Amino acid sequence: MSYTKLSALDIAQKVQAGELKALDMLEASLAQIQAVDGDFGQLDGQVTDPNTDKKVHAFISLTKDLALAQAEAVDAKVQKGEDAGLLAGVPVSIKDIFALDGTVTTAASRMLHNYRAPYTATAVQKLIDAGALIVGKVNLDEFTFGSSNESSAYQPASNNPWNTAHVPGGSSGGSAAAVAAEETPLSLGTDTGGSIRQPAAFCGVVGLKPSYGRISRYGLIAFASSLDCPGPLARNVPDAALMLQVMAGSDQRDENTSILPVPNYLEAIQQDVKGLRIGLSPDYAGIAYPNPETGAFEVIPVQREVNQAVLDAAECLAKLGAEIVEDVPMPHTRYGIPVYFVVSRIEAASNLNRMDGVKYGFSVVDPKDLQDLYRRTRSEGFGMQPKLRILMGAYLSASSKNLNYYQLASQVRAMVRKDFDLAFDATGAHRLDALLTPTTPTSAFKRAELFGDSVLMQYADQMTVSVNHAGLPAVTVPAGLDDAGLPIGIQLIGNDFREDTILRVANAYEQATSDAAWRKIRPMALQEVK
Amino acid sequence: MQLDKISPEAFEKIIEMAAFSLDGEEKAYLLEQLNHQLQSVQELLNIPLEDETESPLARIPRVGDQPRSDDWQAFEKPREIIAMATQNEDGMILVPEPASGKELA
Repeated sequence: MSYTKLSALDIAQKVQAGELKALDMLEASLAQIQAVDGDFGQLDGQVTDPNTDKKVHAFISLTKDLALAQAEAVDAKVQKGEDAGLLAGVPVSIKDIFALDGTVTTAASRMLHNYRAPYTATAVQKLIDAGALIVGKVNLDEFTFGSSNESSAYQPASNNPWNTAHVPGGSSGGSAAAVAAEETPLSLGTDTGGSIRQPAAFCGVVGLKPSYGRISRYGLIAFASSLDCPGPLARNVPDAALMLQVMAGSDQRDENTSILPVPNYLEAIQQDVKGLRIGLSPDYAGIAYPNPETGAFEVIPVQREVNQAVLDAAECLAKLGAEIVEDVPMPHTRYGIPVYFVVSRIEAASNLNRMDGVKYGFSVVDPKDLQDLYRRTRSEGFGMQPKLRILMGAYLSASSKNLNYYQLASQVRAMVRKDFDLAFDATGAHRLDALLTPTTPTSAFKRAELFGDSVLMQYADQMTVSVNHAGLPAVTVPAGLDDAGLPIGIQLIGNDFREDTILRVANAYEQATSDAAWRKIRPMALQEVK
Repeated sequence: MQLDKISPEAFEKIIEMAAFSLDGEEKAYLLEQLNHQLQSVQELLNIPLEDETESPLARIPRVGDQPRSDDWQAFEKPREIIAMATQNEDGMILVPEPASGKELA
């Protein structure tokens, strides 16, 4: 069995026991990247591989020297009989939105093509401290602005390993693709409106968006500061729990991190689900989308196979002893995207004002004056999606003569949260432990199918975005393949800081379906790899 | 209440505010997309609002609940940061002069 098929838990145990050298594990990971990844994303990317359409293209850059030093350090610790950490010898890829001291951190944007981070993000440092091997930085939508990876300035953008004509999702598409293609068993992503869960669902892997404040945002290039959450992508639930265990906790450098104690997630997921109350809501059966011609809202139902996967999962959990609670009202779910258009754009525009060509990153040559420097740098440095978000944020911030959009959106955001409060209220009508929903309305769409339509692309996040507004945890787990052979994800949403509960339910489901025929099928990108 | 579409004149002001310089093709695409996004935002105006406005994040017991002491902490590698500036001299970042008689965007 190839080392790259091992779970992170198995790798760490074998490395600590001296049965596997971290150096050998690193070599296996790099060989897999060599075999399946093809050309890395690069600015003005030039394709050299004739089979590029069949490749994964998860990576922007490798950090081989760093990983090599980390592997040697892990092996030396094991040799001396010391504890090498929970992630001893586990290869990890990092979404290229996190600072890693001494490495170029691009955010997949020309604007930061030469930005060499002078410090390391807290989440990344915790992975390193736990013995992980940081093998490289993976692609994403530019500044995380997108749901397909296509907006990356670093081309070729990532493909979906299950069918490389399809997108991997986004914005953590490189992370999901790298995990699905067995390049790294774990990847660090971020989720602002669904950016971990949507690509994880599209690529058939596990993705966890923790509660806001569970993992530090220090060293994460900000998109929307009240929504951004770092989190793990993994091939199974225990690995996601393991990675969360390592990264969770308070950080003096992010004042919004929680001071609540971190539970033992690996222990928690061993419990069964007997007596847990799992909700189903009719408000997750479709997306309400504005027709571009008329402006009228049309409800588009969730793809048939996706809906069926949710029902099958409910039946499976019921057989395991969970109580299924139907018809849980979540009436404000449909407002998640309109609220997101306001909150995320205003916060993004504010955060991106710092990109001005003066302090770091891209800058134009021979500006006439300061204004010329700003305008030309921002026009040439940003791609179309950041420009669109900045302009929307600027418009919504400025047009407040009779209307304060941010305040209005914040009021509706509180109403979105109230739906969850009522659903999880321990003395209420539903008393849920978790809400079970589709992760995405459809399986992965084809490249270029939605790109450019910023509204329809955004509505692909309708199942995930409410969780970000509410600050709650949610996990997506693979739940089958559709008729086209593309992965389907189901989502479990939990109450504040109850990652332990949703991971427990997800693990029970994963175990109960471990023999399912669809779990034996491998992604297309792996079928030619020996 | 019905939201108006963003007029070309208002759009020019936003471009100025965002410090962009866009060509005609970019402007056409961006204006179309902005107006389509506003159709989505329109939904917010039709919702009967409740009084509740507490931020969902306000209930998190967090590090910032206790103000940290106001201690100056030197960054260990200031030269690396300064070196990334397009123009720098003697540990200072240099910028071009503003255009005379114009306010900065």
